[in-house]
Amino acid sequence: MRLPLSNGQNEIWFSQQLDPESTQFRIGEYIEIHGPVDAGLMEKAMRQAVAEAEPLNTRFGDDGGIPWQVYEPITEWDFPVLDVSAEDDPDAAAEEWMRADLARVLDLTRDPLFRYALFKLEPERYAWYQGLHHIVTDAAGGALVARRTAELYTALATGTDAPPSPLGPLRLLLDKDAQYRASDDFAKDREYWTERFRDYPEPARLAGRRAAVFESRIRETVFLSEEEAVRLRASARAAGTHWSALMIAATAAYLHRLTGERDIVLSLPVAARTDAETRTVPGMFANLLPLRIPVHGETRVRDLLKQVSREVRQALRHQRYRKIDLARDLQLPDGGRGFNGPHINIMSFGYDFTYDGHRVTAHNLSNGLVEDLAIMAYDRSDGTGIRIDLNANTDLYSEAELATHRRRFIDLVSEFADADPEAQQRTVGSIELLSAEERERVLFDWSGGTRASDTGGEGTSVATATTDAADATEVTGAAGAAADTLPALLAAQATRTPERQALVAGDERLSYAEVDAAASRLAHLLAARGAGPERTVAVALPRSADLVVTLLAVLKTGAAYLPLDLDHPAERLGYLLTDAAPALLVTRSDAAPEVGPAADVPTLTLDDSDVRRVLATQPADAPLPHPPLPAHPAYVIYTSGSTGRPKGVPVPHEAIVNRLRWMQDTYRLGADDRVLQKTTAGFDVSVWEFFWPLLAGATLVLARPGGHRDPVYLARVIQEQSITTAHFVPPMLDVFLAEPDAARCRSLRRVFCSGEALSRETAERFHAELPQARLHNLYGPTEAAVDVTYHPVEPGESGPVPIGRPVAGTRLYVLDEGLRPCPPGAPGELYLAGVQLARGYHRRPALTAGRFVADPYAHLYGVPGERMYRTGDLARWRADGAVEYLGRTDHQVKLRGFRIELGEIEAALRALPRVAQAVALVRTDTPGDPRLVAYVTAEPAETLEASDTADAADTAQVAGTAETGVADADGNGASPLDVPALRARLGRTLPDYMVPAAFVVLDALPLNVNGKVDRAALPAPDVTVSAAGRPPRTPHEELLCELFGEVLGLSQVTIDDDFFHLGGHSLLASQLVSRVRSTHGVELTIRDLFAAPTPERLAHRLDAALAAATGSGPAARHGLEPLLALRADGTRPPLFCVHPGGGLGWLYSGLLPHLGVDQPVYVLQARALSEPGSHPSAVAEMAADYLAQIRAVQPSGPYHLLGWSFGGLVAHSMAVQLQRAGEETGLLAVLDAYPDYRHTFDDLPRLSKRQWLGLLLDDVGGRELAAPGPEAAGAPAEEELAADLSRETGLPAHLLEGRESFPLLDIFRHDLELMRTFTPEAYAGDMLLFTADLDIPGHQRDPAHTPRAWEPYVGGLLDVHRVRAQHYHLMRPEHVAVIGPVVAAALRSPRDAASPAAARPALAH
Amino acid sequence: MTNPFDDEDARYLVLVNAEGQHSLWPAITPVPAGWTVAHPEDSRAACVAYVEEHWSDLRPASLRRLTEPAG
Repeated sequence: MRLPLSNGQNEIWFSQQLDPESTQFRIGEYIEIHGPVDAGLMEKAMRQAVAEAEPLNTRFGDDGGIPWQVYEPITEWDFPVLDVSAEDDPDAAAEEWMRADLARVLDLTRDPLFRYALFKLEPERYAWYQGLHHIVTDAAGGALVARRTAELYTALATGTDAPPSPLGPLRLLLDKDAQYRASDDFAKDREYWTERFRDYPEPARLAGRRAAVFESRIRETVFLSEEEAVRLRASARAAGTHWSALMIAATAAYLHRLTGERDIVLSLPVAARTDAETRTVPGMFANLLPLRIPVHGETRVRDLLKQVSREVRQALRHQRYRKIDLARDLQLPDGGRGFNGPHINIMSFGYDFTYDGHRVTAHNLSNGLVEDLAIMAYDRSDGTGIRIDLNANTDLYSEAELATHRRRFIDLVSEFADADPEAQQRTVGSIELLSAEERERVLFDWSGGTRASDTGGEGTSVATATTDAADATEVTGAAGAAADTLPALLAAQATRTPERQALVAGDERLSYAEVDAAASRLAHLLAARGAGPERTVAVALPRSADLVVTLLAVLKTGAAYLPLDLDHPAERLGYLLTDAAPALLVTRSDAAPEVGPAADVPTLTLDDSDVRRVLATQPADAPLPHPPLPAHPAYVIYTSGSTGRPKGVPVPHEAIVNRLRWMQDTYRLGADDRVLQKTTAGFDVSVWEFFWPLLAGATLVLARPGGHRDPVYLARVIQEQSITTAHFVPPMLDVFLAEPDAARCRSLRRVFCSGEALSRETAERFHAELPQARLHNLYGPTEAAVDVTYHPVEPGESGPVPIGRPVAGTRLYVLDEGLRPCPPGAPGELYLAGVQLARGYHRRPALTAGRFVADPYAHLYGVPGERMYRTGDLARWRADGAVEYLGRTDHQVKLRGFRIELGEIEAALRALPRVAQAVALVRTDTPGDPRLVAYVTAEPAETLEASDTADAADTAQVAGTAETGVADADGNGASPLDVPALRARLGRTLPDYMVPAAFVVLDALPLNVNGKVDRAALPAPDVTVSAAGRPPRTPHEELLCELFGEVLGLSQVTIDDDFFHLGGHSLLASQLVSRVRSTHGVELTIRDLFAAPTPERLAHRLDAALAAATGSGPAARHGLEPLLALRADGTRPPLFCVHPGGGLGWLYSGLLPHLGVDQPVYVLQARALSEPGSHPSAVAEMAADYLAQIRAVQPSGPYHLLGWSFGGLVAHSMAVQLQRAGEETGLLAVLDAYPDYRHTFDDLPRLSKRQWLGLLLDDVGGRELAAPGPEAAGAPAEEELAADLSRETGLPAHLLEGRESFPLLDIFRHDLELMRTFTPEAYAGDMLLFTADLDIPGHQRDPAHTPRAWEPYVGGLLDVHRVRAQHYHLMRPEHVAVIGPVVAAALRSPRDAASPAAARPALAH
Repeated sequence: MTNPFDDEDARYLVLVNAEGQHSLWPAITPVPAGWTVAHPEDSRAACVAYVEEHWSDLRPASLRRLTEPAG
């Protein structure tokens, strides 16, 4: 009879179906029998016991997905009896056999789901094995079978009658299960569990992550002696509880101490047999209960015991409610599997039976799956103490790690077992977890600190590097020596190597002596105007020689420099100036920041004629009146502040000098080294970029302003300038390595990464692309002089890249919440101490006192009274003493290398009109692509002004109306919050990288039970291309759509798509801006993109910027000039594309994404577009004109040419002429053009203007426009049509105006005429030919138009590619996707196309 | 992980060292060598207010002495 499954069985059935090959549900044990055993009697007893245990005699199946079981006695099974007593290690041999058996995959529909065997270990010692599938029974059920077997064996051995079977039937199990689920108890249990776990926390895990693989496990076993066990039990009793609660409490405490989590979740396996009847059934009842145990460092051991005792009691009262039901109630993903905390299993089934008087010892082999860690404790109740197994998933724990956990955990248990009332009063946090040896390691071997007695009082050995290895001797003096300041060291180097090249900036080259003299002159002027120690001088200059000289000058005066980032919004710069109150602002007329009236700072403009005159009179070498002392700040750099205000960090000379000396000590720059300076002065990485080369006699090479964002430029400048040393934030390193030319940067010797976590993938790519260079991972906050740890990254390593070891003069501590050192491997907060600490936060004493705090370990190093800086970074010691970065303890994030306090963004959002609440966070909805997302709610509607939506509709208006609205992110038109306006306004107060990429407007923020914002419940922002968006209409829109698509990785973008809705963020935005610069030579800013985030709106800005920049006429503005750059930048020889009939060339922009960002592309367009009536009389004449134009861009070959249709003929003619002139030709690509058009246009239809427009503009647009179809009644008049089309295409209306004909048609007709009369000459090179294979509907294909027709005119290889498209559709995206890659490949394969190729076949295909 | 310096509900001290530098300090943790209690156990807000009021010059005392010999 088919029976249903119990709910517990169901869980197992479905899990096993998901993974039929898994052995995760095999459970097994063996019982060691201390005496001789009669194998025959044992088998007899066994067979009877199995027959009595109904649940073992079941087979399973399913019917339409619903599982069933049948009970039918299974008698066909063998009972192996194995004598292993002759083995070297009989126990091991037996266990090996058993484990092999447990590793067998069982088929639930066919196999017996139990296995028994007997092993002779010694003549008087046996092992009885039982291996089961969890679906038929559980550990308690197995124990029932074991006990019954012993009973039967004893009866047989003693010749007595066995008592009747105590084993309950399968039916009872199913009935009890059904009764329970229909009972009030079920409802009550459900209420208990859903209430207790309403906000289910992600369980704390020792390994810090969930396992991905569950199949393999390791075990560490420890035995508590009977004496220890007695102590443990007594201690539990003293606290009024059972020793099992003590074990659970110790486990919770251990997890808290090692993870810092205060809400600990453990999993408690239970028998779930709550009455006498169920306790007789050897079936599957077991359940897994989640325990939730609040614990923190101040929790007293005694209180924790009480609390755990209560928690366990409650849980057991509700133990029948299945975990799977709870997971469903709470809608936990994946059946709640990821929410199981470590298991703590207390096994105290009675094994107090004997086999014919021989006592037994039970040995557990497997309780099934080990997801993470399972701690099992067996009280053997036989006077032999307690056995504790730690079973661990090998995906998470190594054997060494598990052994360490075992040692530490047992030590903790032992502390808990101290029944002394005073011991019970201790707090969880006060228990020492570190062994003496571990303490020695973390505090002395690894921290960077030197034991006080070793140095006689000197705390931390500071960096002692000499500077220029060859010609310097540098003394590290005691604190207070002037040598420990930047100006002293810089001047010393200038004296040592006056003639050496110090600085390269664009075309400027300055020697050490020149830089020093210029800096001295400026320093005297600055000092005269108030600069000096303990004062600041703001510097607002683009990256230039002036910038470097100014920084040096400020340092010489003793003042600290305050860098102002010219990319930052005026409001922020204004705040910095107000907060820092500098003595002076140094700037240049081309860089003067708009700082508003708030900051009334005296300004020195370097290129002012008066200033220049005064400067010339200053001394170049006289000493300054007040040089700095080592404790005076050298610079003040502002970082994001969580309360909404950036905070200034003054860094003393001695701190940065230590950092620079360490760097020179470690990496040894030489005279031939050239360091690239590309980091904005507002970030402290720039500090070593500026000064390290100048302290070491090397050369400092400045990247051009903005160049740091442009990987193509960076690859070029590194090659051109033979750069040896450069820094990248990891995301930019990724972008750089993706650049094909990066691998050519062979001069690079060392690359430094810092700013955020460096992934192993990036590191491996680095080594693959740049095998000659070393990669160094550095870490440090602005508050500790740039970097405090370093790690050389080696190729071929695996796992996270550590941040490494402390730099000289610095100490690292990884501390728990009680400020105790964390054991190796355990996460804690990273604290820094030593000479590199900043003074604090400028004018923020309380903030300083809370972050720069007393160092409780300083006395160990002989420097009591020193401070330490708490970083807010989570870290842990690796076993080798390197530190691994794990994340943040707070809401500070690192995004693309920038340090961002989410609180500052939230404060800025809340300051915006109409915003009520705001949350900012970083989401990684697309792997590898983190984005900053803002969630905002609006203030209630009644507080709004009425005028909000009045001007919201006009999206077509030009720049400047960015605040007017379109629909917000969630499409909620009724919402008063206008996302583009929010973004644009935020862009005025926050730097680009802090402006969220996506905004989500919510009615209310989701809250958790504590009333706090539930960040996990915030929805992912919508990233979609608008379905209703319009296609591009102008060359600029066309190009911007292409660039948007290129940068965002999308195939099609409309002019209405918002860059940020499509997944854009600040790094992508800077790439877009850099591409716009390459293609148009126009410097837009990211803030332009915030204000005008769609191609349409950005095109308006572009038009305006172009007009302003070039002052060029309407032709340029419309993109109609004869030679138009689609992409001007790039290192390769350009591709020139010749317009088809009709004269327009920008339809080739579809090729851009396929050709790579380093491939310049130009188009040639008919002169008649910009010079009416200018029609050449022959193709050759046109070709000569075009050649003259391309030579202006590229004076010598190889020339790459491409042409579609008519343009193909012109390109061929150009190639012939180039060859005749002795020039080198490269690629010649012809798209569906043929040598002979004499008869093609004989039957040229008589089309109306409307039809002509349709033909031409479809062609031009590369896609269907809302073009005129067949003439219909009520169609607009011709003039209106021209106006409409002008608007839609962006073409000037005059090209479309006219009754019979119009200029565009004239050009087209003229081109047709030229085609008809054209006969190509022979070209002695290769040609790439694309043929359009589909016929134009209603149009007869000219039989002369075959690839072979080209044979007489192509001397080299004719490479033919067939495209399934009709002629006019070749530039549609789907066909460009075929053509583009072929062209790209041809451009990259250096075939000597122009060489005579007589030996080669003329036709390849 | 909760930082012992950020718990708004916990009790704190204000410590000061020979350089006149101030530090917030959890009241339950022993005072480190080289520091003395400038403000006794109190709420976090009160300790913060004490620091704001009493530590206006962030320069280390040794530097102040060097540059202001008369002071």
